[in-house]
Amino acid sequence: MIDSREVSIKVPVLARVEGEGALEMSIRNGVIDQLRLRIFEPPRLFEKFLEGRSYSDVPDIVARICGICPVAYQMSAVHALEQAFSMQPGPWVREMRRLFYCGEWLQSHALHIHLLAAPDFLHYHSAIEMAKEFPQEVRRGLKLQELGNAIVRLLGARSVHPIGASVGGFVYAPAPEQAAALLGRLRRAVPEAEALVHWIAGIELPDEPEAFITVCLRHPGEYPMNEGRIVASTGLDIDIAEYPDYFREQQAPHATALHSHLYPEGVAAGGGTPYLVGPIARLNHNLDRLPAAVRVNLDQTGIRFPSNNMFHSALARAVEIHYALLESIRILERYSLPEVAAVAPTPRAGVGFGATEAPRGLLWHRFQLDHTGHVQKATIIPPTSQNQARIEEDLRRSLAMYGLDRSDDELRLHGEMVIRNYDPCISCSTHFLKLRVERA
Amino acid sequence: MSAAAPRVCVYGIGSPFGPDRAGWLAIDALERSGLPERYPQVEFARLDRPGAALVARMAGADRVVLIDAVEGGQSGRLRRLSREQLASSATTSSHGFGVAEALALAGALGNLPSDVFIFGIETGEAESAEAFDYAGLVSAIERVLGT
Repeated sequence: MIDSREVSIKVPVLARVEGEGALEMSIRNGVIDQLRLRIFEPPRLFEKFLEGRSYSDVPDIVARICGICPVAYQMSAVHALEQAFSMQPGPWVREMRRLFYCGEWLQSHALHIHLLAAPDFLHYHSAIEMAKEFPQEVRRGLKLQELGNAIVRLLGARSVHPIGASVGGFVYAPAPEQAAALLGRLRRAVPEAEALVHWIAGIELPDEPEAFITVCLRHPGEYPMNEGRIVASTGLDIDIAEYPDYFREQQAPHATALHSHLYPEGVAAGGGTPYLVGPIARLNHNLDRLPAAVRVNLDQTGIRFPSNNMFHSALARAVEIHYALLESIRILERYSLPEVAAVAPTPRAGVGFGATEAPRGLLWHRFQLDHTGHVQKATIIPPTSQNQARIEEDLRRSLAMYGLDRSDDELRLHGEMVIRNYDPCISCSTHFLKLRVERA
Repeated sequence: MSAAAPRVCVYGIGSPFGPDRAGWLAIDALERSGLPERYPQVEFARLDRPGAALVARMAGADRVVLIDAVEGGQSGRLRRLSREQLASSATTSSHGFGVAEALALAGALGNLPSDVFIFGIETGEAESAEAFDYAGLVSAIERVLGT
């Protein structure tokens, strides 16, 4: 007898919601037979939109792929285009791009911790409910998020879909007075970032250690944002241009997002496996790249990294907030007006690669351009699609551990928590997760 | 400290896309009508999808007027909305964190201004908000500021 129950959570029609997600699961004799996270994700269309467009249009177009991490898309794109044109925009631009990225990490991480992760871990249905019991913590979170917004506004003129980044640099340099005013605000927030790390570390989380492969950038001298080699916990250590030799995206019939797998011995050798990108991966590989103040504050919590507990993602985000704040302060303390905010590009035919660390993990771009700098082919591999196979793997394990005899509602809520923990770009849609369970 | 002059804000909320610009165009219309000159102590601003940042933006204000596009209805029609009518989707999604959620969060934090006026501009089937008539909105805001 097949007991097929369908529980459908109403998906309200909402403006500004991107994407949609659903979880389908069949349970046979008390064991998960099939589990599929269906993600309907739009970025793939952007690769086609970009064909035939001038390199100068690219930063503004790719910013539209995500309302939460537009800076990441702009950064991977400008690095790829500059590599194709063999140009180096110089130290001022390099530092400002790092500052720009710090702003986005602050924004995105603060939002995820306070509006998505913490309500899950503290057992509230929403951030609004949680705010009644934890007003100080939520206010602090909103303040840290606003500081991120302010950094993005400083360099990008607005905090959503900023417009300041260009191939070669920035379209303007902020006035030193503006930079100084922001520096003061950032300095005053340092104790709050330290306290945030302790607050998250103090929340009782599921202790579910598991083996997973991590992938991120690693740079010889700094915590990775804009530059580095791609490393994995398998020992892989490659130039970003070699990514297609070791990683392959496959079309999963149940989702428009592609599934990525890592092939530790190269794609030709086979043996692809899911992997994790994002804050835990970065922190696990780059602890030695954090300043002492960040490491000491983390050590005081008693929680040790590298971690193999996925639920430490929120803590890793809090640590990165602390880091991004200190790094922004370091950069702004040395701020001065440049002679020029951007170097003029000289277009030429070629191929360029860009890989940067978006808040959610590695974001890889490849552009092929003609001699006038028009895009012939674009490839964009976002972190969410790289994590998708890993999320499915985690859901299988975590739901089985949680108990498959639970009600559909309980399974749905637990599934949502597991998914949201990855901060996928579909966070919004997975909150209205439609769960279909077939039991046999 | 702020006992002398109440802080009043008029925010047009929107994005650069299609009829969602209505909130910004409303501020344009208010500026053309000369309201900012007549009420120099009132803050008039266009906000670009502020999401949760609206909470911090409203903090400390005594009276806030929010103008935002509303899906559906009749193109350009003005509607005064209560907080309850802003049917909150009650989600914790970050992409979908809108005015209703920001007001609910401000309320939960005890940061809600004592007077909140919400004006919705229905977009109907319109592809742009440029041609809407904002005269009714201007007089409505004038009445709010005059009381």
